[in-house]
Amino acid sequence: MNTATSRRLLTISLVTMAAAVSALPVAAADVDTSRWSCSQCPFAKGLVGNTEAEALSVSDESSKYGQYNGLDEDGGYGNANVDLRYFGDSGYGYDIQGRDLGLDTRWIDIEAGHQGRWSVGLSYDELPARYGYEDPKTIYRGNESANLRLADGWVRGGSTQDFPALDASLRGVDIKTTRETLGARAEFIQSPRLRYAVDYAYEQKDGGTVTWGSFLANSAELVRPVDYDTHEVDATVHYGGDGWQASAGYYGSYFNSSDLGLVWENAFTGADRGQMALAPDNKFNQFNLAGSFQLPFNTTASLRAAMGKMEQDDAFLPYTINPALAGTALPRGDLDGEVDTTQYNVDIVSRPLPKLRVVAKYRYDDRDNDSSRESYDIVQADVAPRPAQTNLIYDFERTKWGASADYRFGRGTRGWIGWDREKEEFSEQSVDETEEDTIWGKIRARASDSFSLGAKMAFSDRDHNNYQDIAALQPPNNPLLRKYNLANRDRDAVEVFFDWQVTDRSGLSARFEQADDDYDNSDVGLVSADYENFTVDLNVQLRERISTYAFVAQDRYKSRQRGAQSASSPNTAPPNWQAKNRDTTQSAGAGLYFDEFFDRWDVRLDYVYSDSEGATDITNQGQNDSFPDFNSTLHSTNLEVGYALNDRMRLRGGWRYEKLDTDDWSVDGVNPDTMLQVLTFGENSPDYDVNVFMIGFDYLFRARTNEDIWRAQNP
Amino acid sequence: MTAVRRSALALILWAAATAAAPAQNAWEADPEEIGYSRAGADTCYGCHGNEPGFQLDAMFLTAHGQPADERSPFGAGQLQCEACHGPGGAHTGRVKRGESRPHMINFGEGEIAPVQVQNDMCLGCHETHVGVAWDASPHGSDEVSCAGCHEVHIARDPVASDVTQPAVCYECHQNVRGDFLKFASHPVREGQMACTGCHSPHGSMTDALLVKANLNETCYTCHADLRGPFLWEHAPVPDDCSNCHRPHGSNHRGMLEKRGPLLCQSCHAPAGHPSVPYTSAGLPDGTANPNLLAGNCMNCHMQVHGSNHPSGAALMR
Repeated sequence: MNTATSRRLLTISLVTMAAAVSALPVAAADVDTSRWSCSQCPFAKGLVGNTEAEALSVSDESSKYGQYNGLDEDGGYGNANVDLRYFGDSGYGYDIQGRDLGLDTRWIDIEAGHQGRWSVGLSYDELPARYGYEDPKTIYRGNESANLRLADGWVRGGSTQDFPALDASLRGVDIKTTRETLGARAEFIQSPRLRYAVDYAYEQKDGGTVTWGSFLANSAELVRPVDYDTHEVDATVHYGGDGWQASAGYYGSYFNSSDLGLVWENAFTGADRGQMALAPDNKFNQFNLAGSFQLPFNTTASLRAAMGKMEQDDAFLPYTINPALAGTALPRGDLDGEVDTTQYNVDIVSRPLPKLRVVAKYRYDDRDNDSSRESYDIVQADVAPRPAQTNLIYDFERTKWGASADYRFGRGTRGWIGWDREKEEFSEQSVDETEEDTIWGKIRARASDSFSLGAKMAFSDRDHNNYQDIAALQPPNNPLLRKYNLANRDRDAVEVFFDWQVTDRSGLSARFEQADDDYDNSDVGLVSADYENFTVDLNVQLRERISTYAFVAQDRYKSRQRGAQSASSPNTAPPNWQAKNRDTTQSAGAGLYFDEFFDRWDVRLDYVYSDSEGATDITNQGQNDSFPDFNSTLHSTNLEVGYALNDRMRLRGGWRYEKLDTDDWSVDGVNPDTMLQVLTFGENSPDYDVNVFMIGFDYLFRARTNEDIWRAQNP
Repeated sequence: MTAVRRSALALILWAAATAAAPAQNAWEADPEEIGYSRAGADTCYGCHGNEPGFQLDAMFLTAHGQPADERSPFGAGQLQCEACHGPGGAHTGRVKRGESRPHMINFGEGEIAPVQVQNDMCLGCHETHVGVAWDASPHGSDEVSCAGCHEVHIARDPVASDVTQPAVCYECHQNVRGDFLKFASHPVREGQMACTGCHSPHGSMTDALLVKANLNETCYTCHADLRGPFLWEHAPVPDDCSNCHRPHGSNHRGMLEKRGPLLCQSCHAPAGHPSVPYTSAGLPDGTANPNLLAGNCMNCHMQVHGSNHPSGAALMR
């Protein structure tokens, strides 16, 4: 073999190896497609899709059942859904999707354009949010406004037991918000490499949520008005080159609240009125850049950067509206709040060998608060002048490095190993910085064509530098306290799973994960927090058009914390009490689907169950005390049956049954006057038992099928 | 390197390469070597047109089946089915007795074509849609296949709809499914929100694949009223919303990690009422303690997300 031949062979061998790694598509122009007539292809023409009209009947009223689905009242509802696309000649078309058009959860999206060139879209989305707790009642009038008045004839008292007009004044109050979003978008594809997109949304959120108004010695549960509007703009330009791509973007958010503050009359004796601040107007402007580049040696580098500014200069309210207290002049009329945000990432991914991949990462996230700092002559809760206090300016800076490698040992078996270091820096907090190292490993193996399993483990160690209480925050914390987001922490996490394709038509998978956090230097505060979760899923395709699934799952959160009770300030008591929390949720579900059963029938049956139990135990001075469990049990069954009258019309019927039982000791049995110093809504934790019946009619705009073409060609 | 050594090396490499590519599966050799089918999609329809599960017709209701878009696989002069499934010359050609028919590139977990090959086919056209972050993202690192989430032979890809998307995500993220059944959660179960409301599955600037550059900026896209900056900030709030909230769902109202006052007492231990262990003696059938019931700490300190009131240092205004 001569030199030229051996060189040629070497070249061929390398080319063959490269091809074995990845066969990229060849340019279409290189292939003779002149005989590819696609005569059997049912290219879509005209209107295609589905329209649905429904009548629903809801058996019972429940704000929790209807919290997000618009079915909070009992009675009848008319509804419609639409899913239509029009395929015009030469690539023009439109697309209309609408859901729940007769309900308070309506959504519609209309898009038109020429595929591959441009598109424009309009959308409208409505999302109600009901309060969820049952039967709230209030003595206030003017709810959802910025001025809450006491009921006519109200007589103030020193405690809730001293309100002679309480019962006569209580009225049910509907606490809800509605979010309406109008969207507009456009995309322009200048070339296969260059495209532009812009997305605009205008959102209005109205209604009320819950808050509390305090005068130090007493408080009342109130409806907080919500009258917000927000403009959002997201615009990007993308360019894809040979071996590189880049994008640039702008994101803007402009939030406005109609009300600066909420004024409410005091139901108790004392100050006449109080005022709290509501959400201030704010705006955020951010510019984004991203790019990725192919480098030699099978290496790709990607970079992303985002630079933004948050601004807030809403006018300040006065220190107090209590005329009996002569508030001083404010040092300034607004915060002049400015926060600069900077984030950038660099990722380098290299495949030096076909089976080896190496990744290096860098993350930087900075919140630089440049807001004004002043001393304020505080009047606490409109009743008590306090020593002047200066606002703290919080900055955060996170830096993260990481490196990992993964290797394919054989078909379906791959192992990963990695290391991350995260450093967080804080201003004016109990620590200046924390540093956390994590090592992790993962393996996924395919034991056979039908069985794969895997495991992942991660071990983290976070340490802070010198911990000290913030002098500006009075009264001081116990020096043994470690705030858990700043405290030393060891975190061990493990996850194992398997996926088993039992037969061609059935699969079984299971996962278990556990994460244990140990705050080993926290004598007071959170000491440990553990999480575990397992799931088992089964899917079976019983026959060609009959499928079923089932799952069971459980998760548990456990935590332990210690406290140090002290009546004298500063609190230097040793830890003298302990609390344990345990939240356990078990869930299960199953479903059975028949598609085109006996040619004309579709049946879908789903059932979901979830049972949560929250336990709290306190140990104080050697005495063990347990709270009643917080319970929440949900059963939800959904049956839907469709019958095809012909190939364009279908009848549907449905039944949904949902039952929720909850016990919540923080509200159950708490009437408006149960607490002497807090006037509450007296609501109850939600229980409901709701049946929803549905009948519907669908009209289909059918697409052409291959069979249609065949029939046309073979009359 | 001598000619002998060079030749030996070449033979070894050639043997390794041919050993790695024993058959003419669509991804295992040069496309020009394998060749393309004689009649394009009509060839495919000949065998697979009526085959259950192939759903060829539905593909023409998707962006891939539009002849007027020159970028589409069915655009003029494009490679039709073979644009995605690779060259079909070997697959559609004559197969010798005893040999199995070479495979096309089929898509999905567990298919014979390696995930890298599958994804390269998709990224060949969709790289700028996927963006720059895929390779280093958790999904990219785990070699999740595009078809593991996307279905393209169906009129509407289920992962593109708020109603059907969560079920797709739960196929791998089963631990999250139970969270959305809990007492307090975002309205995902109701179909009012999808996972992509918060997560960007193709990669992002965060390890949790959030749509914005960090967690808080993601939350502010819907909760802009909490962005601030406020005059009096509650330090853990601008740091990380998940210091107190479980965003996928919780047994406690407000999607809190745990209920007050214990949640607050994890970080606040000055003398006086914040240091007291509130026991069941404070329930309604006992002393009905305002530090325990209803809003507990928030009965007075209601502005836990920050206050812009000049007298709001204690988050009471």
